[in-house]
Amino acid sequence: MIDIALPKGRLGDKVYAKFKSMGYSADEFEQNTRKLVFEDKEKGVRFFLIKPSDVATYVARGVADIGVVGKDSLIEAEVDVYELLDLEMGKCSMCVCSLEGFVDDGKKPITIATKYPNVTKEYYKNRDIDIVKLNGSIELAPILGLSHVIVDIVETGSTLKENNLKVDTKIMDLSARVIASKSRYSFNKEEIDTLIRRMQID
Amino acid sequence: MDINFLNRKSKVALKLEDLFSRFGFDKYTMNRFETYAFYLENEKFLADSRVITLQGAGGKILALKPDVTMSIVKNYNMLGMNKIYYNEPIFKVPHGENEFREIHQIGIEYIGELDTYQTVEVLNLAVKSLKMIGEDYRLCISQVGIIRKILHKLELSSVETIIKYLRQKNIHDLSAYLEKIGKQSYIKIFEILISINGDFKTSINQLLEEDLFKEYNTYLEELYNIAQILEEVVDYKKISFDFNHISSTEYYNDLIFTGYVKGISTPILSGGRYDNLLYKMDIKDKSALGFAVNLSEINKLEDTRAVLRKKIVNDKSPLEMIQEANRLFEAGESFVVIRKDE
Repeated sequence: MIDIALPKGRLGDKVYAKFKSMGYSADEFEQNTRKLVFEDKEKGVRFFLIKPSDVATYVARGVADIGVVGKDSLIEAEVDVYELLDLEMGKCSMCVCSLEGFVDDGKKPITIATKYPNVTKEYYKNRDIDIVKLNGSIELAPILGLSHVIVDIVETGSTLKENNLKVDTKIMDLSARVIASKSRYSFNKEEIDTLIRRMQID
Repeated sequence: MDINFLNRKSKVALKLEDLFSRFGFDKYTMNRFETYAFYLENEKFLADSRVITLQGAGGKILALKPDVTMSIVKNYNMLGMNKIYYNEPIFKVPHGENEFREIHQIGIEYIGELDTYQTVEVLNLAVKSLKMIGEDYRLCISQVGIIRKILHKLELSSVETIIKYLRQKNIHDLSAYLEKIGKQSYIKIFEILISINGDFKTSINQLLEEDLFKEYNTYLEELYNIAQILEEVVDYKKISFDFNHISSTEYYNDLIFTGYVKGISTPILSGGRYDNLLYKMDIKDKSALGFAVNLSEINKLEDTRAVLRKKIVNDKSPLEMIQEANRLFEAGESFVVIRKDE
């Protein structure tokens, strides 16, 4: 039995659709129930529906063999797992953004609002910074003077535009990744490799 | 003596001490402290430079040991032995965690002339150790010497990013990174490094057939030799080879290995050859190989403790009762004396 951790929401639905196209299915998943565990007994696969930011933890702790997680959540989780495949789904970018007209001259400490403190620390590693950890509506921080800039995910850029913000720097491209528990991989290598190969082809 | 009253962790510790001792390793005990300056000087050998410090009575800054091997190597010249085992606590922040933990480690170190026999003996003990912890286990063997040589050729000021991607089997980000830094000609060799993964002998044979690995044949032939011997003496199906079990520290320089037991998500055993550390500590004519078992993790497995005690009702005088208790003890019984009204 291979245990697969899927992120709740749009990405999880898309990934499940991919598994379905590969011949794996769990009828209950499509019935919009409140269940969190779905099983395809015949194919020996079990799906867990998990909060996206927790998928990496479930896999790292060996509760699931593999999981699908956004690269942003994966970096923030700082877990020791294999990253076996870039699914190229949910593509977006991690960017530094600020109000129109703001220029960071790099000469003074800067306050940064973000949901992603680890990415931010890594990017500004040689700079004196003050990180304000927020959990949502990050764009509001520079508007209300809580921070000079924000480090956040940018998909289309329309939210930024509507709030008079601009992209200053793209830090990295992001997309959904398939990760695996190092311990469980060592026991279920063949099954996991076969599944990954099929995901690459289909 | 019946050891069934012990919990699983204590039983394993006892069995491992017996195993190491019977294979000729002598126990080395040490105190919990080391000078903080020692870790500052040797920071590159620590996976995490954070240590718990405190001021000694003489004013010196001391640290609670985050690693045992470094202290053994430091004292090697005074020890007068080359086969050492230990059973000690260490204090460090485990990877991916945010707080210090006391980790109970038991392990062996061989320091001296390393030949094939000594290498196989250490691997054989690693397999036996894993089997004592749990019947379903895996030992993953790797060769960091080959990786270091390839990384050296890249002539980069830092190879941390590449090591991070190798550890993750992350060929998509590694290829993009190599392209970004203008080293795309190395993508192929890293693709092979990441894809090699499975049966020990088959993996080495695969590498021996690759032109890109011709210059590493000495390493590969020795690995093949080791694989052939292990096939004869251990449960070979439970051993695999891959290059992803590497660390970013400069601790290891050659053969390294990691052990897993089903039911525990982190490596329960890790070890390898660490000549670099010896060299840094001025032991330039010797080699070293060893491993440590993380005993603290064993508590996560089901406990096998089974204590069957006879209940003895105290219906005698205190003198007669204690004489009866001593008689039962001498007869090898486990018991508990209870009051008449209990």
